[in-house]
Amino acid sequence: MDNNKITSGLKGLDTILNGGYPLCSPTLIKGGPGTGKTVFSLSFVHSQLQQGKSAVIATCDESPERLIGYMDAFDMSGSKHLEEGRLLLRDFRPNLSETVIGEYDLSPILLRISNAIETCSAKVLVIDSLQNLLVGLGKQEPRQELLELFDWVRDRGVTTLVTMSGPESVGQSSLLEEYAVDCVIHLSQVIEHNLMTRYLRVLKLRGSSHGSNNYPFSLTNHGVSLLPVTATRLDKEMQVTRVSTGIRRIDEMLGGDGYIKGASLMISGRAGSGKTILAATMMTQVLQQGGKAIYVSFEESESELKNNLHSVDLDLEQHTNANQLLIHSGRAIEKGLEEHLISIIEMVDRESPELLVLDPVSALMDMGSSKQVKMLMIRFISYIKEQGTTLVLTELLPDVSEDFSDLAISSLVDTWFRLRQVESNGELNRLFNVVKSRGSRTSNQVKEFTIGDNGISVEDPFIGEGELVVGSAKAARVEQELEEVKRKQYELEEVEQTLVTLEAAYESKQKVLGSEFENEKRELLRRLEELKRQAEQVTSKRGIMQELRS
Amino acid sequence: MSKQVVRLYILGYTPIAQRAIENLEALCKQPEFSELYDTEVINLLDNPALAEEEQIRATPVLIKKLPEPMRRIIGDLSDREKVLVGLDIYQSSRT
Repeated sequence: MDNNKITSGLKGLDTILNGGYPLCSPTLIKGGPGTGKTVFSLSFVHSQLQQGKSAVIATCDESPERLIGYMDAFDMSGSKHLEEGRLLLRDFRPNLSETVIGEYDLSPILLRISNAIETCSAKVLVIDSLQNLLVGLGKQEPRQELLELFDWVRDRGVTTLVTMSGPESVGQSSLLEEYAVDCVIHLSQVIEHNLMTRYLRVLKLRGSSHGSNNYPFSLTNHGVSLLPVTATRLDKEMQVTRVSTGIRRIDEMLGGDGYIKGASLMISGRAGSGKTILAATMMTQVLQQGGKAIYVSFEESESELKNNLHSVDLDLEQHTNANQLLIHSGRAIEKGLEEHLISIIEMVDRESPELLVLDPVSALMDMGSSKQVKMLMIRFISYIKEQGTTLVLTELLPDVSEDFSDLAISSLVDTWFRLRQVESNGELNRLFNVVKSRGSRTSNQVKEFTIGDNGISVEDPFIGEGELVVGSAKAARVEQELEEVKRKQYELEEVEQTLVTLEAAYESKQKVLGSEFENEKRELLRRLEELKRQAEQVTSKRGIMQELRS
Repeated sequence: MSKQVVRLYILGYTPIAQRAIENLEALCKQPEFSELYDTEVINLLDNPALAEEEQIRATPVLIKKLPEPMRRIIGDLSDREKVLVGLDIYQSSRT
């Protein structure tokens, strides 16, 4: 931290200002009504009081009692410090009975402020707000006396915070901005899609570098909350501890031991594809190991979520009772994207959970131009990663999307699961695959994903003849195949039988043929004998005849 | 009827403060003023706590507490008519 800086009491702002407000110098906070100028100054005063310093507040807008009330409401223990005498409030509100006739000077302001500063040896001065300090005193130009005041506090090493109303007075305050103060912070409110977002911008910071973007912030119960993620760096060391998803088959698909702790995971799928249940299963796994988790739901109330998950045997009640699990539910449209992210970051900072679920993150995505949303999500994801918290996002895909992600953040997440529904034979079946998982040897298989009374189970689908079959069709296919095998078996037996029969037939035919042959042969032999005998008879007859003639 | 006191607070004898004192003295010569009020000049340098007590933002300032309503007139009181109107001695309708 820079030696010439003093903490603003706001973590995010210190990062943007490279350490804080310039020490012993005046800083101007400009912004229209309701932009949070007073809360910024009170936060600063509070943080200095916490460090044992003393402070003086010159209030020109509200009564000292109300300011103390605000501090107490924001948990800044204003009345306590007031009693201890380390906080002095000076009432500079305009007096309505005043009229101005002729020339005058403002030295009493300097006198009163310097008196107060000396009384409690304050190192911090807040003037809220400068233009009201001068209300009723004619022209509202910052005058010579005020510039003297700034020189005076600078000489005495008092860090001063001055607030001033809005851009309307930019022209009038140019002297103040250009000359008198060392740091100018501009606060604004922007309305987009009927939602208000607060922004902070550092216009100037003498002698130091500073963040130059429009940084969103919000006013919460705890004061100002800036989205410090704008200033996140990419120097986070990667821890490689693996965490089970709670589903063995998915762990196997991720290389065996599950996902990397502190990774960001996204589950994409259409309505009813089982995103919430998968996310809750992963969360329950962490909770059962004794870890803390936060579940942010933009769709279901806490009790709905509990009931719905109870039906698949996930009991969140015991974990919320054990203060392990914080369920935060709210509609996305309630506030702007930045405010959502800020309030989530606040919760994460407070609870330091091991796992954070945003269900569905797509609810936040319609809340600005896609480029802007992507920028914010990059910062958000990297901030959460820096905390070492595992981030589980679910993405609701529209039915027309054909299961393709339209979220620009898929490239930002480490592990991406896709749930698909396929319709066949009059039923919808769920498919699961790992689209990517950094640092893991992932399975490229598409698995069947079923949700039963005992939660999720992942099974191999039926793969045959170049197509993939799941659900009852898969069962039918298996049955069909068994049938086929049986039939073939039967046919085989049949053919074997025929062969045997054929052989037998052949043999018997052969026998018949053999005996016929024998018979015929015998007959022919018999005839042969007979003919021979007849021939002999003829010959012998002729001999007798010759004997007779001779 | 006892007279009320109006006080002129100054912070050091600056030229503007001197002018205010002169203008106030001139005012005291006006019977409609001097019949009603006594005046007192207070230098806040001698008593800085009074600046806080009276919540003074600018000097010179002339403060009339009684009779009600309280009136505070900031400046060197260079316009006597206006001062008299400001202290409710003249009705502002009178020109």
